[in-house]
Amino acid sequence: MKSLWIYLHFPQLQLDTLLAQHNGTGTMALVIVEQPQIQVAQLNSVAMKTGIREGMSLAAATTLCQDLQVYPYQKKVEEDKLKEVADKLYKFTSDICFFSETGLLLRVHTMLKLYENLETYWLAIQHQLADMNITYHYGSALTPFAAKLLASDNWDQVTQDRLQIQQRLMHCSLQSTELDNKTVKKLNRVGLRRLQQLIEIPLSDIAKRFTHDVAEYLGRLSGALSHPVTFYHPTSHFERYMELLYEISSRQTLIHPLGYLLKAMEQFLILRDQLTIQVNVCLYQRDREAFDFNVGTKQGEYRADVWQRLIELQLENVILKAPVIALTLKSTGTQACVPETSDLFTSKQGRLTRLQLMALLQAKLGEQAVFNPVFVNDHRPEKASQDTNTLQTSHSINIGIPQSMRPIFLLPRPRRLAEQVNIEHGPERVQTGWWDGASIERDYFIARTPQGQWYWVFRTPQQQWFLHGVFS
Amino acid sequence: MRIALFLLDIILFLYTVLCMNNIISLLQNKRLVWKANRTSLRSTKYIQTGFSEIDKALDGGWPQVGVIALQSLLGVGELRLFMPGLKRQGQQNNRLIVFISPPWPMNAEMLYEQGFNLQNIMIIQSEDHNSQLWGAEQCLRSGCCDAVLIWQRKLQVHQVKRLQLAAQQGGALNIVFSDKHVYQGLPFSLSLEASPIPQGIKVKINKRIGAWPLDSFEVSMQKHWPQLTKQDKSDYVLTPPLRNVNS
Repeated sequence: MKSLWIYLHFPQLQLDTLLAQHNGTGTMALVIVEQPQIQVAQLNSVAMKTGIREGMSLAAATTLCQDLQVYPYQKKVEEDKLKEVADKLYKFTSDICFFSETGLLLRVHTMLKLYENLETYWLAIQHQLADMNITYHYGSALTPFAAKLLASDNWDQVTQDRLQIQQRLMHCSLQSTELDNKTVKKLNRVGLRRLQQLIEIPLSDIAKRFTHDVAEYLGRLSGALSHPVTFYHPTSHFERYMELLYEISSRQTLIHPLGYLLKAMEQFLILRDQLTIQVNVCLYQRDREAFDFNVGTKQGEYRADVWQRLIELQLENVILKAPVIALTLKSTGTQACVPETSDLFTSKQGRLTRLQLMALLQAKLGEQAVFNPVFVNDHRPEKASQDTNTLQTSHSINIGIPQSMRPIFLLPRPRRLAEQVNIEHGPERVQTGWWDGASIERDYFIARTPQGQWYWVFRTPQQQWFLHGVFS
Repeated sequence: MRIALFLLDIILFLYTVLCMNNIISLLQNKRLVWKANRTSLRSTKYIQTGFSEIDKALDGGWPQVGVIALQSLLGVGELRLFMPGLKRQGQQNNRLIVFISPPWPMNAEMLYEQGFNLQNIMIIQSEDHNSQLWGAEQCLRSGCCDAVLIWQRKLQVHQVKRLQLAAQQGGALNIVFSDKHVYQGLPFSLSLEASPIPQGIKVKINKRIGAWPLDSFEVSMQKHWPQLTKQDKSDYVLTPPLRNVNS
């Protein structure tokens, strides 16, 4: 056994994607129409029953079925779906190649040692494809081109038997090969209709009589010439686009399709044992520019329900100006999953970690609303106390013992003292900051109002009195 | 006639029995009946306050879980009452202390000076009353916070109940500061009133679950904050605007 390839041909990827995302569409007739010719390219079984066939013009199709749902063919949807299939299969087979726009090529012979034989291997692959609810045709052969030819011919068999493969190949018409239309017509004119007839002619003669491409194709088909292919490497980020069947204008309804995407992301992350710190949700609105927002959690999370909750909170602040027709979910910034180091015995009733709590609060109240204080090495009180948006884990400061009493509340900017106070302690002179233009020269006092409130006041060289803090 | 009277008797008797039952359950619901088998429920943990006077008055200290209300003028030392307790708690548990919409920005320098780990301090700034309460509830429930301090003037029964429930779930303490009116009839675990005195602060316990209210007592701040107690020296009175101060 030298080599063995399996080709998977997906004739209706976009339709399958639509059907998978919306389970309740079993009763609607759906067709996908190719743009330039405006003819039916893919159709579901309901549409098939009404008499619509592939290749029919859209006008003919609409006369056959009144409430026909029509979607334009979108190459990107098919590409994304193909990538999704490849992602899924990658767990079970290592060498996958995007051989064409609607098909995947699997290199099988390298995997047989792991799976022992072809049957178990193929069973594993079939199982995965069945999960995805996707229509496909397949074929196995000794060369990539042969496998593709058999699959596009709907052979639907997997075998290692060289003779059987050869026999079936001979039956294929030239129409279904990779040769372009012009060449096929030329070959037909000289009476060559089946592959068998072409193969019986020696390669050197073909190269002389026809173009070089035909000879090369035949060479690759038979395995006489080598056929290098590039294999697929899975991406490190999750990104998926979803077209909605209905326009959605309420935020609550939007959660359901988002949940579907989040579930898919969860699967993606679980497989890689990864967490994502931030997701980007993009809402495509009708007749308007797409609108996107980021939702983040510093801790990193993979679970769909947690992300859903955070996104719900964020959505509360979003005003939809037009109905949403499609969405994209992207994970940005993934990191490896580090198990939580929590003690089994010190049971706390709550379940959140502080970073999760922070993410929750920030999702609802905004990034800037939640922060923690940092002490900076500066003698100017207003500069010494600052805010940061992250619960830092490193020590930002290490100053010796501060000199004297500081108030717990610091006014954002000093206010002219407008009450009668009694000086209790002081003064403490602070004269610094001459190097950066914000120099201060103040004598600080601790003072008490007749009502019993403790103030932190200062006097400038101009003998003006200011209130700067409150001891609470 | 006699039979009718007899029947009426029975009905009256049944009615009184039923009423008795009703009254007892009513009293029980209002927690006016003391039951010996419920005492174990009160074996809550306490946070030592750092002030011997309060520890004594509260039989151990602040409750570790629950909602405490404190009514006082801002700046008389109301926050300082909780500082030593919260600091000790923070050193033990390494959980967050959350300040929600304090009246003025918090001073990191003071917190550092007092020995708080600044990484365990979180501040939430929101203008919206409902958002503040929502944030408080989330923090209390999360299980990663020791204490949540909020400044609220208006609270309703259901809001306090929600905070209580969240505090129970997360094993946290909620402290509500108010400068305006005294909360009455709200289901706090502990309701206090504080007023300034020269040596420190005077505390009155208005309400306390499982114990009687207490008359006011004085708490001395001399030990923790000697500079924030009034000296016996003669006053230096300052009346702005003033040009010179003898200091």
